[in-house]
Amino acid sequence: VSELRFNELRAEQVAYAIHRQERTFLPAAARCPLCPTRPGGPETEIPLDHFEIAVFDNLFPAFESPLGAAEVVVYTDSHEGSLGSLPAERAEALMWVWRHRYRELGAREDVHYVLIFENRGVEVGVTLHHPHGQIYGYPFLPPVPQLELTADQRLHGCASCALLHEELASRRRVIYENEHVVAYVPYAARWAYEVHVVLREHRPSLLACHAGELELLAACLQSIVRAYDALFDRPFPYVMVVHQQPTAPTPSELPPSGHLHVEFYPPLRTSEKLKYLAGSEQGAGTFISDTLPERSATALREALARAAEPA
Amino acid sequence: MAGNRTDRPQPGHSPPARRQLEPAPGREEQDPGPEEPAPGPEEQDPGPEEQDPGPEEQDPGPEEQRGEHCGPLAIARRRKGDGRALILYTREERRRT
Repeated sequence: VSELRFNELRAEQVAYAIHRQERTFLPAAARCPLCPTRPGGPETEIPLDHFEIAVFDNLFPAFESPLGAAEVVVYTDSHEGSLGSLPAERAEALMWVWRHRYRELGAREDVHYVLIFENRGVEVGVTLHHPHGQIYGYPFLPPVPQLELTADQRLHGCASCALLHEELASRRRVIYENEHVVAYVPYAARWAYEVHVVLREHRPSLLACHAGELELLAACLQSIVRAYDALFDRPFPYVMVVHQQPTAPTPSELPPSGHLHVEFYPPLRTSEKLKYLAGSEQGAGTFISDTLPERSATALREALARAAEPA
Repeated sequence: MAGNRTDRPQPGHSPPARRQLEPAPGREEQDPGPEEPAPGPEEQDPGPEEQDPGPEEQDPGPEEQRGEHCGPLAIARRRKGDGRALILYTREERRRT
């Protein structure tokens, strides 16, 4: 039974989805529910012997119709690999899938915000290793996108555009750029190797992007994941979240804005040590970081160069 | 009790209504940029299945529904045995070969 309760002290909704306790937890590769259904093998979530990209309703949804949505996006029928190791053409196709799901879920009356994300690594709670992401359709506007709209209001325009302008002027934290997309460690990063990937032009959502932007967004995301893996020469755990314009009317006091960008929140602060959300982060809401964003950007630029070297 | 509370939807609920998702009033939303061609016609004018789920959406069957597109991708919709939606995205040129 899913239930929303409003936490008055935090002014936030908490979703209770107790059925998720029973979800599949780190199965052996032979029993992966995201692999194709093999002849003689158990039926998986995708009853086909091969596929390119598949999207299906989560068997253990945090939100479901008529009060939201929870979908699984399977990037490939190969059990191994990552977003970074997909063929470029497949990563580009994934951007179109995200776009399609944003449009379709966002058109529903019960979906106020479409959150596309990927959790990678057991360090962030992954329960299935097969390359995949998820999409939640929230039946309300969650706090983070609401804060972003508040930032737009505070800065009297698009906050993401303003921050991108500052990063490009400074260049100290920029780690990657192409014709349409820029990636940088933000000035006030919370995580040691946090990276934001931002469209150069003001695009509220994937719907506003043209084909060339989607192609280069995919290329940038793949480069960042490869740089992460090269940073400590190990699969790099992260949470990756696509931030876009809400799909329902926003509160009247906030501007109907939003700027498509992708944020990576990696929990590693060294090759072996994790950043935990402890007293200050949980009790006060103030992150304490051990790493300066400028140093992280230098390390990531070097990792990016190593990742681009021929094997 | 403070706050709102919602119960899990009961089986048999009809699919939620859809609204036409309009582009944001952002400045580039109306002018996506001259250097690249605009998205394909199906993006500018979503097919009837975008406006209205159609009878198959209301009464799901196991058969794939073909003919829907998104950029370079062909879309095939199916229903799993338990009624959950499954959508398959395939590159057009690959499907034709």
